[in-house]
Amino acid sequence: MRILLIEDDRMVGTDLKQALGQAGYSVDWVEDGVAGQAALVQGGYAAALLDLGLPRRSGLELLTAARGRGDPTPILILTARDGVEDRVAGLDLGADDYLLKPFAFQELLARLRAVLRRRDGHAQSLIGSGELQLDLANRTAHYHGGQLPLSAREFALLHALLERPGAVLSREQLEQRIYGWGEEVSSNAVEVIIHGLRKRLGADAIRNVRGLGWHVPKEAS
Amino acid sequence: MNSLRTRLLLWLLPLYLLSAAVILWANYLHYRDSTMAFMDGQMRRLALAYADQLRGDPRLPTLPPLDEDHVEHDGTVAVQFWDRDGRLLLSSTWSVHGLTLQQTEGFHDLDLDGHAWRIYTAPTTVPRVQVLQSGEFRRRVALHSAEESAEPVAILIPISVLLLWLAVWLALRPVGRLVQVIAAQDERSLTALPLQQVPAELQPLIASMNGLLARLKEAFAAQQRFVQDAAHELRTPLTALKLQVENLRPQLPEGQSARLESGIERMQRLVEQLLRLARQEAAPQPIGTEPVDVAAVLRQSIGDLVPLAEARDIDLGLLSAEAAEVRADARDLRSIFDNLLENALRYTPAGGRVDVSLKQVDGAPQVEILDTGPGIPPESLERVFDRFYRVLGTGTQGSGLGLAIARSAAGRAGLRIELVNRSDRNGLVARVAFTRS
Repeated sequence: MRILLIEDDRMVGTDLKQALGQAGYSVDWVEDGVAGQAALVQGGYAAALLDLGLPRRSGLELLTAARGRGDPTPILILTARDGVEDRVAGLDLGADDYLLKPFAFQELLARLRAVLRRRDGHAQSLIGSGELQLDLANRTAHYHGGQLPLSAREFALLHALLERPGAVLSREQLEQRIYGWGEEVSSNAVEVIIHGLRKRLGADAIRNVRGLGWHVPKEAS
Repeated sequence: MNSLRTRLLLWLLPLYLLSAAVILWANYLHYRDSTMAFMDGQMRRLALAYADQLRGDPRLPTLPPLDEDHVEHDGTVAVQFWDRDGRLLLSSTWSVHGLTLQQTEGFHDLDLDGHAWRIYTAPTTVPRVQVLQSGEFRRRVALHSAEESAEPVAILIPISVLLLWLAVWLALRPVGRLVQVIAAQDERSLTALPLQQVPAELQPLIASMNGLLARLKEAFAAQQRFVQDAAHELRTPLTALKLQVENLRPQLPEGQSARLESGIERMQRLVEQLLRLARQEAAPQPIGTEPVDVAAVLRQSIGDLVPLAEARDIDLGLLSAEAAEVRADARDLRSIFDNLLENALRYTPAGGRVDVSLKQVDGAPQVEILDTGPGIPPESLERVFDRFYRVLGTGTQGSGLGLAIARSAAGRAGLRIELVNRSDRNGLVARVAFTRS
């Protein structure tokens, strides 16, 4: 699978190309914005990894131009800029993901796989974290390769937790998701549903944080 | 007394009161004179009437008797007839001691035994006519009429003082508006102050302040750029290092790549903490902060550190979170909680427990983070806040900056951080005390 790497730092570029090569990707590496744009226009890449601080043409300009042309190539931003504004700008301009340097290589691989899955379409209705994924189309959970049918309430609860893996949701937040407005909520409904899910998915699939709520662990942290 | 308003009023009020006093005095003189002239006219007409009568018929007319009360208090004019030799022939009142026929005709002012008299002697007839009026009465009448004329002026004084105050207040209102505009600014929005609607006298001040603001904005931007550049320059080689370890992994013995990784990890943490400190200290003191929900910030902080707690097998939990609002920058609070929690999680051995609570103590919110780590030797309790200071022999490799960052944020937010060793068992209590709720 061919990946376009647009990165001006020699050291990072060399090592990233090698590491991605070891992971089974074939990498075309360009070192400035103009060459990057030319490569993108030429096309044929499964995904592009884009640095923001490029010489001759900035990463954000490249991104704007690509999306302006209607180029559907998935683009993952790799940057050392951690400002929230940069992040929001990048995602608003049509980046598929945003990864802050220095990243763990395993995290990059996971994000890259997710971006490729989404590009292939069949993942459009899949959300989730690592081994645990939720199919929004047919309301089933994918877990360790197997499929588990879910009740409406189990689905709603997992949906809430998997929207942002790693985020801790309180009982009130989960109850709001499970029930419609004004509907009677029994005091331990959330615990009952989670207990049932843990029995089927394993005790570690949904974790409790005392006093705060529940979360699904993030895949690569 | 450096208030412009007070100074203006201090100048304007005496000036105003002085001119009011001058007007009153001029009024008084005018009314006194015209009243006097009016009464003089009355006296003269009365005397001349008698004189006319005597020219036609030299017999003395009968005079209605007047008592002292009428003359002195009601100001009734008394009439006297004198013969050529200056002997009093007839008087409508008692004889006034020491009063003689005046040698010249016309008006005279006399002081007889402490009584002031106004006297008019008519032109020569036989017998001579002389009329007199109490000077005390005349003075009273003049004063009374002057008082009546002064009344409207006296009423206008307080009203115009109020109007004066209002005018000064209106004139200074643009200053108040400017103060609001300036107070609403912070380091992210250093915009020039509006020059329209500002009095011409203040425009040079505003213009030079705008110059200062522009330079300040420039300086903040330069500082921000430096931190951004530093972040970029430090993170990029770290990225390369991490990738190199990844590439070398197949050739390295298991333990060695793990040691390399933990070394890079430590470097990365140090860089992040340094950047955090630089950013925090580059940011100016927050002004006019909004109330912040402490419990919400605490929940976010705990939520973000759950992965670290799980990686280190530590049971992290929130015991209680009472509602509390404080006026502080949420970023400062977040920085304090993050660093204190991270410290607790890093120094507590695997299998340990970190408990967080938010309570109201003596009317002020207080956050406590209890861990089951080794605690801090008493002699180091103060020094741990110093940059790069580390307690020896803990076996944990921190950046040595966490508590320095927390304390700097606490200083900005006006809070106090206390570290106390637990008395019930090994472990540390990190306490954040808010001084005001």
